[in-house]
Amino acid sequence: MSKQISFEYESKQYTLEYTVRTAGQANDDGFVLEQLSDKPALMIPKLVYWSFIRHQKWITRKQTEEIYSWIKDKQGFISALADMYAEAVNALIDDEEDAGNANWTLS
Amino acid sequence: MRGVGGKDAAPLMSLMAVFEKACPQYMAMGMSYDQFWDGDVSAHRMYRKAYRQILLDQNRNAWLQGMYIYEALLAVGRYTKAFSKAKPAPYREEPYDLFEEERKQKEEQKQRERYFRMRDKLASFAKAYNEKRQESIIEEVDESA
Repeated sequence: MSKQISFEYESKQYTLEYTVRTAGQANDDGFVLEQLSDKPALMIPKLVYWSFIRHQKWITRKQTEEIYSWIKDKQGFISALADMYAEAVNALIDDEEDAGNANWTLS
Repeated sequence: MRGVGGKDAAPLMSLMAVFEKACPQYMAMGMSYDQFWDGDVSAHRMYRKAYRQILLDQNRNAWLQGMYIYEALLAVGRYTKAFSKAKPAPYREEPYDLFEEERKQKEEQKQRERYFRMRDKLASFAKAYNEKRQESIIEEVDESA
């Protein structure tokens, strides 16, 4: 199962998820993961907005910015979204090397 | 100035273009269009793995078929030579036993287990025998004393 973030905001349930389509659309919109720390003011709103689109197609950028301003632990939230985006982009990367390489985890 | 790049440089191909190029390949693996674009992203990896398994199986089947043909050619090889009085060897009566290796391994494992059981039995028997013998020697010594 791919990662999702769920929460309730103003008695509405929201689910955030990245798919291949929304990851591609975010990239077309100018989002570049590598620039997230260099240009946060530009990149974070795009990362947040496109994560909503899979389950809330009707949402506007302004609404996503409002919800983002309400979110606690913004750093953790952005880090989780960045992970979800990377997972969607990496979904198409070949994993032939899985067989012989050692596994590692970030602790 | 040549060679300007770094992470601010424009990518050679957009991500969407890469995905669009990959989509037909995934559809050939059995993924639906909607599944590819809007589905769970962990499924892509599973489809790739399954497809790889299919290719491995197909390759194995082709190799197996080649082996049967090779054997058949060997069986009739001498017969097809001009002026040869040799008769064609009969074709194998049964297909290859695909699980022969597995069966052999199981049999070996059973033999190993039998050996260890026997060894343990012998060891306990020897121990009991030695204890009994020790007791009888002590009794003999006591009696003689």
